[in-house]
Amino acid sequence: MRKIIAMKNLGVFMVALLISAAGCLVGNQLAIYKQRPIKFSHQVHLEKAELDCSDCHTQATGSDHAGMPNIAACSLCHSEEADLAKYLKPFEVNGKVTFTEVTKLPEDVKFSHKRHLDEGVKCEDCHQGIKTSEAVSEKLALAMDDCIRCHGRKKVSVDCKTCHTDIDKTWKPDSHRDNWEKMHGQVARAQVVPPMQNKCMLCHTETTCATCHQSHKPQNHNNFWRLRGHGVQAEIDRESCAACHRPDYCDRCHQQTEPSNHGAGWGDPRLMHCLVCHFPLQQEGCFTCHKVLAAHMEAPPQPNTPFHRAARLDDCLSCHGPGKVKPMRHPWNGQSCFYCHQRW
Amino acid sequence: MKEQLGGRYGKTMRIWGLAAGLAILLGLSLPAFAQAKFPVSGYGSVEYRWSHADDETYGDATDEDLFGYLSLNLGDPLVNPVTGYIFGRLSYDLTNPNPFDEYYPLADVNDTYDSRFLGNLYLAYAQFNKAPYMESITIGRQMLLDTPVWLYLDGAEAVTAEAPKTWLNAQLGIYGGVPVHLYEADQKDNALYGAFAQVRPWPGNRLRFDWTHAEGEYLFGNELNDYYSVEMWQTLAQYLQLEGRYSMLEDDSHDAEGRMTFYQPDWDVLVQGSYYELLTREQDLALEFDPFFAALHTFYPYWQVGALVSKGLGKYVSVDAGWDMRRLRHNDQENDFNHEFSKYYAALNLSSLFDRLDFSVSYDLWQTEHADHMIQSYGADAAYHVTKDLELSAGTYFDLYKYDYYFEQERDRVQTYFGRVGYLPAKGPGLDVTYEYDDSDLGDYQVLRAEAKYSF
Repeated sequence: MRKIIAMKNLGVFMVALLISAAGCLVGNQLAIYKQRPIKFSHQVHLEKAELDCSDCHTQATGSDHAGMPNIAACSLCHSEEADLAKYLKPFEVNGKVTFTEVTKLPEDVKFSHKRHLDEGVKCEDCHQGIKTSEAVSEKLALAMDDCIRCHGRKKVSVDCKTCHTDIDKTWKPDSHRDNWEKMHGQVARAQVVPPMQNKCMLCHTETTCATCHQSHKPQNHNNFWRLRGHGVQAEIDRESCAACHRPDYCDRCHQQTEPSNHGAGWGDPRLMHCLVCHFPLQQEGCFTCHKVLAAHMEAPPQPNTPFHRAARLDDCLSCHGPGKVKPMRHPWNGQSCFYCHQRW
Repeated sequence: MKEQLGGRYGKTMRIWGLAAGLAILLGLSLPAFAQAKFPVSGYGSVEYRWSHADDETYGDATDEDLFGYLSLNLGDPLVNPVTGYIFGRLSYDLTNPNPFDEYYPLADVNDTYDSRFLGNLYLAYAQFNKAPYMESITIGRQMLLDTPVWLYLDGAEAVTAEAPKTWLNAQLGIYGGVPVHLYEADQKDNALYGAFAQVRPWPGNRLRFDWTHAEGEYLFGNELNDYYSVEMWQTLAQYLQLEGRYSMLEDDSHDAEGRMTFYQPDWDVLVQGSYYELLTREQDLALEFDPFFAALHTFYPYWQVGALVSKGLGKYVSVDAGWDMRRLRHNDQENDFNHEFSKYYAALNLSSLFDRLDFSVSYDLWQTEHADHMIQSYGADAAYHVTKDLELSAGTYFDLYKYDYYFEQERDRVQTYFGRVGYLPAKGPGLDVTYEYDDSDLGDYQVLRAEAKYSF
């Protein structure tokens, strides 16, 4: 019954999850739809009209910014006013022609077109896809990864300060979402090779890993976890503990702290304590904490008498079983008596 | 010498050695301080922790502790020839030490020491960055995270600079010292040393060979282990990478691993598939390789496959989902501490809703195959960024533990609630206050943490 309820709750949760995701996806698509690309064909201008980038972006060779073309440049080819007005219509904002930079870099990024061109970098090396683009959209924007890859190939510094004037240590990449504390391990283990530099090292040093793993505990390490939950987890998958813990940590605690069920009378042989761990008898359980079970090590051996020497395993119970002539002083756990009561 | 480095006198020597190392570091740094640029950054914090338990077995219990953290980054490795790093913690038990000769619901590992005042020096090393033909030389207490098994030692590591392409960009490294076992009572006869070699034979490839020797007195006497590993990474396409590793422990095959990662930042997608196999039985090993043998006994061979997908759906939404499956090489080796299991996990994240709100829901399931053990967790949390530095967050998580101790099936349910106010600027004073409440079948527990932090 409980299993059915648990599965039902899980089902409701998963349906809610899917509906939320679908709703957000639709909402996001609507938001993207509002930013339709500007219909300006670089392909027509570069290939058919055989223009050069600097014919319109006149400042590129001489300054940091490439600049946007002015209307006068357009009229050199689109000489008829009606023709020109038709092509400038997509750029109108509140009735005024405005060339906005759809793929503009963030304000804290310093970038010099002149310097890159002087170093022999071509326009299409960075603005990939521009020659064949029919419209200007965010898809043409450069990603930081593109810059890093090229810098890596050309052995140019990829230090943050090379391009960023305002380095904010609290800024997190998109990947560092709420679930990042759990997910980062898999990403960190996939150490990438140049030219795609190891992204973690852009912001973090190896000391970040060590520091965080020493001072921050996972979300599931609550009080129940400390008392009992970690044991269940360790039973199932001990490897998950090894991300932060070494055996000496576990050993220290297990050798010094008592479980909650070790209450008054726990060690008394007349209690059932052996049965709760040793039925069926296994070497695990108590041995987690107790390397040597002193009480069992001190169990008297089988008497060295002709009668006992001749006895078989099941003969012990004929005298020492419950209700017999000389019942054993502790409950019988169904296992061989010779586990504790050694033969002579 | 080895005996002198372990044991009681060894501990004193190591502390003095570390202090001397720090003094050398500071001494070497003085000229650096006089240089135009020697940045010092990090943080110091003081945390007060109040815990209260209404435990089913013990009853009411309260505990108060004070912690101090110091993290110092000394210098800039790109600029300064000598840099360093220090990270440590001091703790003080404000209440009487918790008794450890009987059950106490708020006992933790600090209570196993006699003193109420404890210090842990986690990292303290000096790094020389511009030695000829060397990438770095690191001396002090350090962690090596590039090695196949992460190593923690008081000692030294030296790594050569990458050789030219004609020499396959070869790089060599060597390290050695005394392993750091923060909680081990007696560290007599402990030693840790090794070496590695790395080459990049063709574009997109990296090949690395490791050897690690670890020795120390552990459970059944002195354990000496030699570990050998070969690892390869290969970039197949711009966003596709394969990696593989094979290792040996002593003369036996130890484990093998393969992983494929596809990470395309433009598509905001990460896909990873992995395979791992433990090829040998693990027991009686030096602590660096030990599979928690003292508590969990022998670790039997198994293989495990896993898959992970992480995808951004537009600007605000992302989903993560993964699956792992483990199977033992021999079914009859299944026991209390060697299980076959399947693990499922998923999370939905909504970021920057209305520019300030983050929200996530997550689900985890661990399910063993033969024994009826299960851990099921799900929860939700939300965070509101009032300003760039000020964040309010709250959430709740439910955990169901199902296991069969004592030949009855146990069910433990835990509901955790938390709330947090964090003001943590990149520089300057900050404050972080967290409250947690656990309602479980063992009792009710509360923890309040208040941390004052200064970042510089």
